[in-house]
Amino acid sequence: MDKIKRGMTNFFLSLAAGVIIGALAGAAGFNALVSYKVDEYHQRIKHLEAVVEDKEARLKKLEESIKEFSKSKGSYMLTNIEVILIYEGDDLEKTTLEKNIKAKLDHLLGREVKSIDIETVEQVIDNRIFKSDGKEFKLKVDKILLDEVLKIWVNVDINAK
Amino acid sequence: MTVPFFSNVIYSFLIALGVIVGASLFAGVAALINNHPPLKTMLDFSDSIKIWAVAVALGGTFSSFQILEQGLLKGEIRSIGKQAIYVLVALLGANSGCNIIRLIQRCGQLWIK
Repeated sequence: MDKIKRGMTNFFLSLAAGVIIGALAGAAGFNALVSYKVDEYHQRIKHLEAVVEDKEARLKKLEESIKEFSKSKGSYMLTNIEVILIYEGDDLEKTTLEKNIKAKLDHLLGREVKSIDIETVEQVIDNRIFKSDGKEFKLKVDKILLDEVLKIWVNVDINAK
Repeated sequence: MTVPFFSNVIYSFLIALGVIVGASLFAGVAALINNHPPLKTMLDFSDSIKIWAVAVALGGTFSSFQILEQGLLKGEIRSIGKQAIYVLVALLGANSGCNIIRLIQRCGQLWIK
């Protein structure tokens, strides 16, 4: 009995030691394999952060000058487009859809609000089908709010045919 | 336990190399957990702990200084020479460890291409 107990203890100790050493060696080895890629991603993130910061500063200045210009003219200009998706999907799909919808409406930015035809805006998006990653997304415009910022609420149906 | 000179040289070289490689690899794991760039951390660490790797390989600097002191005061030039060789070999091991870590970067570049 004593021998069996000692044997079991030895077995579990060896198993634990093997698991710990294996995990440490595996972690270190795998880290050495992927470290170059991870470093590259870090570099890219830093570069993109710098680019975004620079673009944001420029955008802020441009927006201020547009506001001053439109004030002096007595008219409003469209400065931003906001897309609100009524959809319970994952964030990656949402971002892709938002990007696609914004791309369709980008030409309106900087135009006078009075000159924008809201029905045309609706027609551009309504009943449009986007295909992404083997899925089909049918868009249906829920409501539109037009001010200096164009807000558009869109219902999304997946796999609609 | 008396260890022959040549065995001591091998010990010094490999201990210094192991300290650098092991410490750098695990510093990389720590960097990954802390969301820092792992390869950069590994390279920085391998450079900064080089001198400590030499100290570890020699079994702490105290005994080395003792031998050097004896060598200088009692005129034992041979022991001074031996210690100098141990230090040099340990430095060589530490440098080799750094180069192994740099090799990861080179291999990564090739892998990405």
